[in-house]
Amino acid sequence: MSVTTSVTLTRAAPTMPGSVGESTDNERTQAMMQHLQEVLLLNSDPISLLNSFEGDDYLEQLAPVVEDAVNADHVDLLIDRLASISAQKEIEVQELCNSNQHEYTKAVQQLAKVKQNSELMRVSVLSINQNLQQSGRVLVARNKMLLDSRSARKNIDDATTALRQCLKVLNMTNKIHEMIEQKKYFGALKGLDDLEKNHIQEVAQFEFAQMIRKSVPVMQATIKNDVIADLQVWLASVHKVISQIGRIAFGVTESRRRRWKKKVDQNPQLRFYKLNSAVELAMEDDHDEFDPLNNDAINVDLTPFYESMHICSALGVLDEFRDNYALDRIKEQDTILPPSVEFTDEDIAPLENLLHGACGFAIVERATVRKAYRVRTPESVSELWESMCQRIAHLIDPVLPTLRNPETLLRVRTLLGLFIQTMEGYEFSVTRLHSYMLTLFENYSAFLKQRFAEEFEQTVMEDDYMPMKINQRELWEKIISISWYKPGKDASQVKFPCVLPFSQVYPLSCAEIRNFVSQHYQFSDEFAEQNPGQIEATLRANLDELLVKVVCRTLRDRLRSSNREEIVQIFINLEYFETAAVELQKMLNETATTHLDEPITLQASSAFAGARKLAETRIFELVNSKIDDFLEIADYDWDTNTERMAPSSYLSDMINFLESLVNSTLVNLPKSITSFIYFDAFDHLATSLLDMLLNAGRRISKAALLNFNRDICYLENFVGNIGSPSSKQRNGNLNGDSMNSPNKIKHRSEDDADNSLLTTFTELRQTIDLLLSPNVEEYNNTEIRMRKYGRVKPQNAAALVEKYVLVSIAN
Amino acid sequence: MASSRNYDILIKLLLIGDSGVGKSCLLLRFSEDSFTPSFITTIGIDFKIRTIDLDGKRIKMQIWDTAGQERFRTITTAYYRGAMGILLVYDVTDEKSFNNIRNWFSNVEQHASEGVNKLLIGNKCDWEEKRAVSTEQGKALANELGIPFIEASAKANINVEEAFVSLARQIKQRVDLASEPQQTNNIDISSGTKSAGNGKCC
Repeated sequence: MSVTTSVTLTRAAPTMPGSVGESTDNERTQAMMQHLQEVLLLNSDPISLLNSFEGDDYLEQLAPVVEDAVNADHVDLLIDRLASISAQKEIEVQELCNSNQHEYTKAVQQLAKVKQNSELMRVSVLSINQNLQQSGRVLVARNKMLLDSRSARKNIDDATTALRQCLKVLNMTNKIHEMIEQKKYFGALKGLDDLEKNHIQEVAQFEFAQMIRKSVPVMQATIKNDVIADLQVWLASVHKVISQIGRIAFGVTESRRRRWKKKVDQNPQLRFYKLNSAVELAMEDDHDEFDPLNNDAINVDLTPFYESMHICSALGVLDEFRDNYALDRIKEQDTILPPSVEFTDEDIAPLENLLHGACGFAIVERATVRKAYRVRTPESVSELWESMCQRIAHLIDPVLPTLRNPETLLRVRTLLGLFIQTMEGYEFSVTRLHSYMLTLFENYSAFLKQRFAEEFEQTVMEDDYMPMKINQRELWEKIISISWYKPGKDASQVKFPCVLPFSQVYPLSCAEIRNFVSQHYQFSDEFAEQNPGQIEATLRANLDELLVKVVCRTLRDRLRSSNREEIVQIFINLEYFETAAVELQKMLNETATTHLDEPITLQASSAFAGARKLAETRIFELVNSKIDDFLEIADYDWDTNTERMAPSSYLSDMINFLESLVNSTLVNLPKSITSFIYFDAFDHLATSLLDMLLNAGRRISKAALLNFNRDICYLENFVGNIGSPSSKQRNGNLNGDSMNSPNKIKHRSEDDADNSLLTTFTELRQTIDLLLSPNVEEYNNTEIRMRKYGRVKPQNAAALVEKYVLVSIAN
Repeated sequence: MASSRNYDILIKLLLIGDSGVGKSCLLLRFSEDSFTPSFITTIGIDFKIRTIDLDGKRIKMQIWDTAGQERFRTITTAYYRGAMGILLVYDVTDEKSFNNIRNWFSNVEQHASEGVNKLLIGNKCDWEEKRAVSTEQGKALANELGIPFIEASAKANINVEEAFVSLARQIKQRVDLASEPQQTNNIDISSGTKSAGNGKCC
């Protein structure tokens, strides 16, 4: 409003300077009055007037008006004007005051009344306000309480939930502990897993949960330890019964063997099939497979083992379990197989127990491997088995040399055989055991050989080297049955007492040899199926060695003796031993179960033949040495003039001796041998006598030569009669005591030997004939010499002619 | 000396007695100084030669060993005649063999040459624990038979040498005595056997 006023004044102002003149003055006064009125708000309503006097603004607006009045020299006018306005206004105010007195008073009264009421109201408002203030405070407190309660309640709910979860976890944990105590390990383990994977997460914020979480591996370890401990307990309980398991398994095999043997006996076709062969298994009556771990006598529950395995598997420690179990098996094996086993001829029970243990152990192994191959691999089982077989062999080996009775080895064989067959039934490889069986057999064979050698030595020592005289038929029959001697007669024709050609060493040795062979077969019986060829080869080699190195060599050694009776009897015995060797060879060929590329040949027969040849030579030597003994006492006086009418006594003694020798000591020798003995003896004698003649000093008297000739004639006569019937007759008489001469062997050369006996004296005869010839010169005639003195050596002829003929001519 | 002989005197001895008394063993001990225990029985007849020096003479002893078994009696008896000395042997551990000496002695009386020297020997005298015949019994029998007696052991080598040598000495004395008047250099001591020979002369 004031702005508008100012603008109005401003616009009015310029107009003022323009109003110079009367009209212009007038007009200017007019504008100034109006303007003044406007400034003084005279034509405005009182209220706005009132308001416009409230400030000093109007003074500022008055200023320009004053200024304009000054400028226009109208100040008097303006003062007049302002005095008139003021006087007018004075009158108006007087008028006004006079007309509104009453109303004013009334208003004042009313105003006082209003003031009083408002005062009252103000008090009441204040009180209300105060009341309100008071109740608001309570409300706030209540509200706060409510909020607090609400929050508490939420907390309680949370806590309840948490507690529930905790309780669940704790319950589970307790249950797990309980299950562990009750050995429900698998459940415990499952619970533990559930707990860890699910429930414990929900209460993870609690310390106890962490504790539980931390205790999970501990509990798992506890379970593992408990399970392992339980397994150990189980293993210990199994350990107690493995021997029994083995013994029962052995028994089962044994009865199976018995049944099979019975079947084979009934049906020999079956003999080609062994125990555990498909045929045998198919024909086995007892079809219900025998459970070695679960039967009338024994009950081994494998559950703890499987449980342990499964738990360890669940725990993820199967590898550890496997290793532990493997280690335990090795330890167990050590327990079963101690560093040494001591068994003797009297008691092989320790070995039996050991094998039972090993068998039981292996059976348990087999049972576990079948169902728990993850823990017990077939490889580890067979590896342990092989080492066990090897150890068994190493355990038995050192004991073998301490045994004195081959029967014990047979018992060891039976045990091992049962062991092999039993284990074969449980699918264990028995190759190593079979080869050990062969070793055992070789030991046994060597054993038998040694025992044979000892016994044979004794037999040879005790032999009387006399043809056996048999008084009883029983003994005769026994000898015929055990020896390989074939009597020329039927048993019924034999009269007792009779004499057998050999000395007792022969039938005794035959018995020992047969025993040796049968003991070998006894060993191989039923158990040698794996390598019958090797068994037979061993027997063959050992038998041959026995005959060659023991029998033949011992007899050869005895030939060093200078006892004629002994040598003669050995010579005769050797013939029978040779036959025995041939028969044994035949027997081996006949009984051979395996195919032979070439027939079995025993060296023994040729060895015996060789020894026999040696014995023959020894007899010749001994007889010749007797000839030498006689020649030692020969007494030729080459100077003598006395002619004897009888042959030299030493020669007649010699002939008598030779005759009685041939008819007594040598009577049992084959005729051929006797002939050769004679031949050899006379050849030796003739040579010696010729030597004697050749060495007869410087001269030989006629009488001496005639005496010598008489001796030679005597010998020639005797030799000429040897083959004659009269001689044989005489021999037969002398032979009376020796009964039926057993030697039937005839040699082709026999008669030739007899005929040629005389030729042994030819040289000597021709020499004497030459000396006694009236015409010594004949010797120089080739034709006559060839006919009559063909055997006389020229130098001998010359020397002797000089000694005898020339000397006699000189006389 | 144009002779094939390498000894001065040949003495033939004969061992007789039951089977098993040890005749062969005594002979083996004397001839070879050895002993082998054995059960071998002599069959028929055998002999050994040993040369000894006696009073400067070389004595060749041919000692005949006979089978004691009855069945060889025919053969063995033939040798009695040629013997210059006979050793009758029994086993001191075997009374039967001692009792049989009388039979052997009568055989000698029957078959041997007259004047033959005899000696009774009780063998196996080392085997005291088995002895069945006392030395006195032996002596008594020898006295009764009028022959010398000695106990010996072939096994233990007791009195074996003595037995043979003493008998040889007695024979030598007898022969020396018999040959003295003749002063023969070579004594044909085997003359006795000629009758026992077979007479098969050309």
